Amino acid sequence: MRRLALSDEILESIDKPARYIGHEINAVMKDPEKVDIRFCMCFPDVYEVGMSHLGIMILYDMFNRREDTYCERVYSPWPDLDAIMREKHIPLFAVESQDPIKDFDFLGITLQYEMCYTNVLQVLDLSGIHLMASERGEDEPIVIGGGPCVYNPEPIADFFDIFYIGEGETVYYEMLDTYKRIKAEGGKREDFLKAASHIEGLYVPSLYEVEYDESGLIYRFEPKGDAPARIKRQVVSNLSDTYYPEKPIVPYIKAIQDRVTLEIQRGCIRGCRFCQAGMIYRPIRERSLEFLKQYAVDMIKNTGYEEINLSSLSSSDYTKLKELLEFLITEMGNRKVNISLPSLRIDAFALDVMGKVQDVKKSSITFAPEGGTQYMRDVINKGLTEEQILTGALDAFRLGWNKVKLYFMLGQPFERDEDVCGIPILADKIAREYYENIPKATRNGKVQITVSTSYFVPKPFTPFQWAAQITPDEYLRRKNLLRATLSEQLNAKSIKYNWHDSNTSILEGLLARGDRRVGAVILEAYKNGALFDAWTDHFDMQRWLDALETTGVDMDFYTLRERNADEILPWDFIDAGVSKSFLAREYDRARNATVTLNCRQRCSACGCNEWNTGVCVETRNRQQKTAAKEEES
Amino acid sequence: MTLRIRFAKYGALRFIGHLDVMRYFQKVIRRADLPVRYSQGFTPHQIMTFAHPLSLGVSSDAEYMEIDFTEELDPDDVLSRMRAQISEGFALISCCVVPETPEGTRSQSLMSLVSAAEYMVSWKDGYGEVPDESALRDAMHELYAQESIVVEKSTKKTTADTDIKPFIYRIYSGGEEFLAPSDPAFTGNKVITRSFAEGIDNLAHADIFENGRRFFVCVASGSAVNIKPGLVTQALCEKMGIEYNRHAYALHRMETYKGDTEFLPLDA
Ligand code: SF4
Ligand code: SF4
Repeated sequence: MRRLALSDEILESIDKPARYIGHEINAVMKDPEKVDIRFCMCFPDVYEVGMSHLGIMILYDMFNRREDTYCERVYSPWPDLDAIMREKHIPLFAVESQDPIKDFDFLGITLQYEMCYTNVLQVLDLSGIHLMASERGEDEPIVIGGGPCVYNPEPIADFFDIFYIGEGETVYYEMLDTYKRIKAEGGKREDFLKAASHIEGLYVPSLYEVEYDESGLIYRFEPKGDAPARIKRQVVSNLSDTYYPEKPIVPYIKAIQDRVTLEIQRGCIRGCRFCQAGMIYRPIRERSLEFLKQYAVDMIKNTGYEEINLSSLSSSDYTKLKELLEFLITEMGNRKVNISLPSLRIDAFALDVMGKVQDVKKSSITFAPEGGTQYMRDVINKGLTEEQILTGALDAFRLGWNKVKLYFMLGQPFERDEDVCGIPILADKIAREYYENIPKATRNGKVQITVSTSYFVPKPFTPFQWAAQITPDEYLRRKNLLRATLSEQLNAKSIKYNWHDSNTSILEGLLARGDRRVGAVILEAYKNGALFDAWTDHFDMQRWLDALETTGVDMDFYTLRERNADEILPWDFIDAGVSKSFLAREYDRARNATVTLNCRQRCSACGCNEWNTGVCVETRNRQQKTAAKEEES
Repeated sequence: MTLRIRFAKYGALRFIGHLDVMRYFQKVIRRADLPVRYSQGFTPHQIMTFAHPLSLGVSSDAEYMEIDFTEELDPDDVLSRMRAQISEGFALISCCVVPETPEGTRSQSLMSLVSAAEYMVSWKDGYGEVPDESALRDAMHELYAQESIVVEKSTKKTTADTDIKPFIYRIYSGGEEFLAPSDPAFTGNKVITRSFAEGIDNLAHADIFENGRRFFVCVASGSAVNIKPGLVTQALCEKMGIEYNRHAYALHRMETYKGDTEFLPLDA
C-alpha cells in the first residue's frame, strides 16, 4: 500500500483530506528511483481550483512522456493543514509520491492571477525552500514560473530562478535536456541557470540588473553577462500536432471544472483594448476538427466524465464550430455527456445550439459588453453593438430564456459619467424588449437581468498598459452613480446589480504593473499572514497596507500614475509579439474612440506575423489574393 | 436489471467521502462502458444506490451498491470489466443479481435493508497505552454484564445520553471470546446466523498493527438506529480507565447485515 505523507490523525482532522492523497484516476505513477529528473508542477491555490487548470494537465502529460522525467503535482495546502504542517514541521510533499518537494530537481509554478503570489511564498516556505532565489543552495529545486502573470514577472522576480515566457509546449524539453547534461558534467546551479538563459523564452531574473532614476522610474534594465537582452515569447505553431492529454487526471473530489476540457483554439482575433489574453496569445490558432473529435471521444472514454467543456477565449470565432457542435451533440448525446459552451456570442446559431444542450428555463444568456455606451465600446474596441445585444436578447426571450447576465468594467480609460449611466440604461432596454414583445401568456415569469461590474485593472501588453487606474473612491463613486441611475429605470425591479470589491482590484493593479521593488511588499504581506488573497473570506487588506507601510513602497506610483510613452516599462524586455508601437497606436485610437478591425477582417500588423501561423497566414493570403485580383482587373 | 456489488475500501481511499465514492463509481461504470440506466431530464444521472455510508478514515470489506442496467448482463463479466477500471484503495468482491420484485410492488431500497454492521476496532501503534488482552476481555465482560450502557450520543444538533446496550448485537475479542448474548434482554431477540469464524474472514483490507490488540463488535446500523463503533470503544475505554482518543483506533467494517430477527450479509 502507498505510504502517505500525512498521518491518519491529520487526515481525519482536516477538511477534504482527499486533496492531499493523490493517486487519482490517470495520475502517473513512476518509480522515482528510475528517473533522472523529478519535476513538481504547482498550482498555488487549493486543490479543487488547481485541478481545474488545463495548462498543468498538458505539461504533466508532456513531461511524463519522457522516460527520464517524473512530473508530479502539488497545490496550496488549505489554511487548516497549513497550520498543522507549520506546527508539526511537516514538509510540503507532492501528491503522487508523497515525497518532499525539496528533494525535487524542479518546482514549476503556474501563475494564473496576481492574487496567488502569497500562496507561491507559502508553497516555497512549507517546502523548506528559501524564499529568495539568491539564497538557494545546490540541493534546492530550481523554481520556475509560467502562465499569464509572467508577462510582468518583475514583482516576483526575487522568488524565482527562471520564468518561462509563453506556451509551455515548446522549449521545456530543451531545458530538461540541458539540465541533464549540465548535471552529468558536474555543473552547478549557476551553470545551469546561465545555460538556461540562452534557451529562447527562458528568463533568468538574477542575470539582469535594474537601475532607477531619482523619480523612481526605470532608467536601465540590462543583462549582467551575455544573457539575451530580450526574451521571446514561445508560441506553438501547429496546435493540431502537439501535446494534449488523452487521459486527463480525474480527481476524487469535485474540482471547480468537474469535466473534460477541450481547448478548441488558442488566441483571439478581437483585440479588445483592455484584454491581456487577447494580446498575449496572438495569433489565433485553431485545432483541427479531426483532432478535436478524436480527443473529445478519447478523453470521455478515458475519464468517465459526464460533461465536456469547449474552451477558448471566444468560441464563436472557431471557424468550424458548427461542424464540431453537430458532431458533439450526436456523439455526446449518445453517451449521455453534457456539453458546456462558455463564451459564445449570442446570435441565432448560438441560441439554437444552447437550446439543444441546456435547459432553457434554468440557464441564462450572457453578454459582456464591458462598456455601457457605444462610445465606450468603441474606446475599448469591443465590437458589440446595442442592436446586436437587443436582438440577441429578444431572440432568446422568444425561445423561452428569461435570465440575462451582463458584464461590464468601471474605470477604463476615457470613461465618462454618461458611459457609467449607460449601463443600467442598456439593462433596462433589454428588460423592455422582454415586457414589450413577449406576450404575458407565454412569459416564464419576470425577466431577470444581472449586471456585474468589475474594477478595471490595466495589464501589461495591452493598449491600456500606460493608463492610470482609477482610485478605489472613484470606483465606488461610479458604482454608486450606476446604482442611483439603475433605481430610476422603469424595470429597476427586474435588474440586479453586483459589484466587485475595490481592495483586491487596486492591489491587483500594484502586482500587475509593479517592478522588482514590489517584491518586498509581497514578502512582507506574506509575513503579516496574507494567504489565499484570491479568496474573499481570507483576504485582509490591512496585511497589505501594513506591508506597504513597512517597505515604504508607494502603491499610487504603480497604480494611479499614467505612464509616459517613452518610459521603460518593467516588462519591456519581453518580446511578446505585439509590439510597443502597435499598443501605443491602439491607445491613441482608444482616445479617439476609433475601432480597429479584427484579425480576420484585416491585419493590423501587431507584430505577431513573424510566427507565420494561424490567422496571420490566413489573412495575409487573403489580402494578397485580393490585391492580385485588383491588379488583374 | 439491477446488480448488487460488494466492494472493499481501504488505504488512502478511506479518505474519500461517501458522495465522492458515488461519483467515482459512476465514472468507473462509464469507463467500463456498461449499459447503465439513466434518469430522465436535462441532466440525466445514473441509477446507483449505496447501502450504508462509511465515515471518513474507516476501511471496509463490506460496502454495497446497486446499479440499474438497461440490459441483461453476466455479473461476472460486469465485475471483470469494472475491475479493469478500479484503483488501489477499492476492490470489487462480489456481484449478484437483485431479484425482480413482483409487478406492482416497489422494491426495497438497499439503504433501508441495512440493519446492522460489524466492525473490527484496532489499537493503533504509537498512541499511548494499549491494554493487555485480559484487561480488554474483562472490560468487555463487565460491560456486557451491565444492565445498560449509557453513553453520550451526539447528532448534528443535539447531545443526549443514550443506552446503547440493546443495539450492541455481539462483541468479542481475540478469537475465543464471543459474547454473542443469548440473553434476549441483551440482544432484543436477534439471532446472528453468521459464525464468528466467518466474520473474521472479512479482514482482507484492514490495517494490521504491531500491538495486535483489537476487538470486534456488531452494532445496529441503518436509518432507524445507527450506533457508531466509536461509542462502544469509548465505553470500553472508560471501563478500563484509559483515556479515549478517537484517533487512536482504526475501524474496519467487516460486514453489513440485513434482516430483523436473522442477520444475513447483504450479498447472501
Ligand atoms: S473577445 Fe475581447 S475580451 Fe474576449 S478574449 Fe477576445 S480580446 Fe479578450
Ligand atoms: S499580425 Fe495581423 S493577423 Fe496576425 S495577430 Fe497581428 S493583427 Fe492579427
